[in-house]
Amino acid sequence: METNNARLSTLIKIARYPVNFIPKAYRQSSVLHSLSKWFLVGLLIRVIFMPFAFHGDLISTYPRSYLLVFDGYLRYGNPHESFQALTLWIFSHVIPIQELLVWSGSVTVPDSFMLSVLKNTYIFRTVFLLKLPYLFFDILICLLLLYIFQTEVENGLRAFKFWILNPIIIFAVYIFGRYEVIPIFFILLCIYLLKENHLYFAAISLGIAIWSRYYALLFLPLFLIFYCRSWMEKVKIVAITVIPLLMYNAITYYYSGTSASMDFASSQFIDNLLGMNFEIGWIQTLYIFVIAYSFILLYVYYRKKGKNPLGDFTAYSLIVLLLMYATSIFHPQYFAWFIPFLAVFYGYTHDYSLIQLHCLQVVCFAFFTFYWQQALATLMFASIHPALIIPLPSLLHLIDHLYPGLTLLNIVRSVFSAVLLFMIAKIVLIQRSDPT
Amino acid sequence: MEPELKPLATGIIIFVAILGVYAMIVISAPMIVQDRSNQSVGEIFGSKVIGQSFVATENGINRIDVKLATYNRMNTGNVIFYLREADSTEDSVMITVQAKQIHDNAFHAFRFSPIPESKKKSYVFSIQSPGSAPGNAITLWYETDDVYPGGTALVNNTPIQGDLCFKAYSNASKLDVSFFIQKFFKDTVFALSYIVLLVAIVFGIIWLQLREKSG
Repeated sequence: METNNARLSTLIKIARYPVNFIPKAYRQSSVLHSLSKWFLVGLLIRVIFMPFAFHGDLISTYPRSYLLVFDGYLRYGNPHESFQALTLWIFSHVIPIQELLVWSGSVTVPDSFMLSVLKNTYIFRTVFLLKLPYLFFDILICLLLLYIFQTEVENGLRAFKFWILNPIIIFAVYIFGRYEVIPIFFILLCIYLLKENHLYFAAISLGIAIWSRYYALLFLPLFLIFYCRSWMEKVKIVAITVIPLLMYNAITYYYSGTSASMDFASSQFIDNLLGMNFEIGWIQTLYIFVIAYSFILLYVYYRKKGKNPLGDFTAYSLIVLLLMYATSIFHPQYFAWFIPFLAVFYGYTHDYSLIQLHCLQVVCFAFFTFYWQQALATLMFASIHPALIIPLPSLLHLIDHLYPGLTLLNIVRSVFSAVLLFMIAKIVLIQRSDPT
Repeated sequence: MEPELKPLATGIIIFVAILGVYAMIVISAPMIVQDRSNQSVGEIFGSKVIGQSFVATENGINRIDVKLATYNRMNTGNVIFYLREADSTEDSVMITVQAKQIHDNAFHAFRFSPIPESKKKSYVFSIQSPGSAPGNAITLWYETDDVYPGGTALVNNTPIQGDLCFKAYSNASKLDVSFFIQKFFKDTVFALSYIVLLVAIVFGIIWLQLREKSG
């Protein structure tokens, strides 16, 4: 009997071990129960989709990590590609997943290869395992959210639930199968370090996020405005932030003769940001996003600083992303980028209208994915039954029977932009009325 | 409902709605579609019989749609539809419709009781209108190229090149999950581990919910 009790007590100790990783304020019994329950609900939804849904991009990005880990291509040494490479290295010793990653394309996966992937016996196991590093970072993000609200349990729980139950994150990471949680983790780590006043470490973390996804560069000016008092400090922070990217480019230049980030200025990301524009005559063009982004920077620079620079940094970073979505072409997985900021901002403000607006965004976003036709609907689930699912028509095609599909999508896209812009207005008003 | 749950609920409603649309498409999809046509077979009257052979890909065949035409006029005779197994002389189905009920250049659905063991069997459907006469007869649309590999068009029971324009349906559930289950369990180690993981998570949620309720 005593032996049984000892075993039970050991089991309970093991089960409770992860509790040691969460902030002390959340270890109180009732809070812990609520936290655990919602975590498991979020985990359940994630696990349900993990093996059965993926976009071709998952299979087209992992080969780069494969080349990094098995063929030493340092050009593919971005943070997300490195973590994916680590995953491949660990799993390559126990399961046959490499065979699904060796193909002779350079950017997109050929249809014939994709079809062989879909029919593979190990496809469910493979897709599940390929998404595991994302789940790992997702859990780290949950922890970071709790640490950002270390002493404000109610706020922390709210932000945590918003994140763990968020349909956009579930779609982008576990249905689409993209690595967005990796740069998001480093951005949130930057926010946490800012809260702890570790400015230089926060700058490094932001630098790693930029190295992984260029969009994080948009937050650097806000970092400088809200946290750096002197020009010297601003120069130091900029220098520290660019260190990871510079080192990476120096290494790739040394080994291959070309810098990995040379294509940044001509990248599709920049083209998308400049997409909404109008010519004013002669050879001059005005870019809407650039005007609005500069306006926001000037506004935050000259406005009276609030008592909570972290709240300001979060709010205006969120505004910048909402502006980007409202005025630029963006790939559906990019929509995950603003969720951590909204989670933190919602945690601080408790403003229910943000949730209502976010529900509207979810509806508009669902229509927005119809632009990509089968690729972002049926084909993501094709591994379940390729012969049945691949021939299914796109929703855009189905809408076409009732009303011109593209016109309807463009109408919804316009409403989507309106909802995003209204959320910006709402955030500005909240910030003005309650600067804390 | 807790506010943080609302975006998830919205997402689930959208997902289920899209799933429902696709389920409807799959369920109502024909088992055979030959929708190409480039000419008519001419007026059908007297002893002229126009038919098409095909192989059923599912059990429970219960409907055949044939693309008919009226020459943009109101015809008055009767049109008779027959269905039989290819190697039988006995008709399994006979349906009579009035020619005036037929729309010009449209598929007409001939519905009948499901034939249970139809999968992989060859069938012939044919259309006749003995009471019609030239100038008061319908016709069928036809593709002169051999576009349907499972059968061929027939004139007076003699095969000709090309195929009639038709669709065949069955009542077999196309949402059959057996293919998925077989594929999933082929990787037994993963399938079992995955199920255990799901069960453990669900058990954890129920246990925490009960603890929360009991205070």
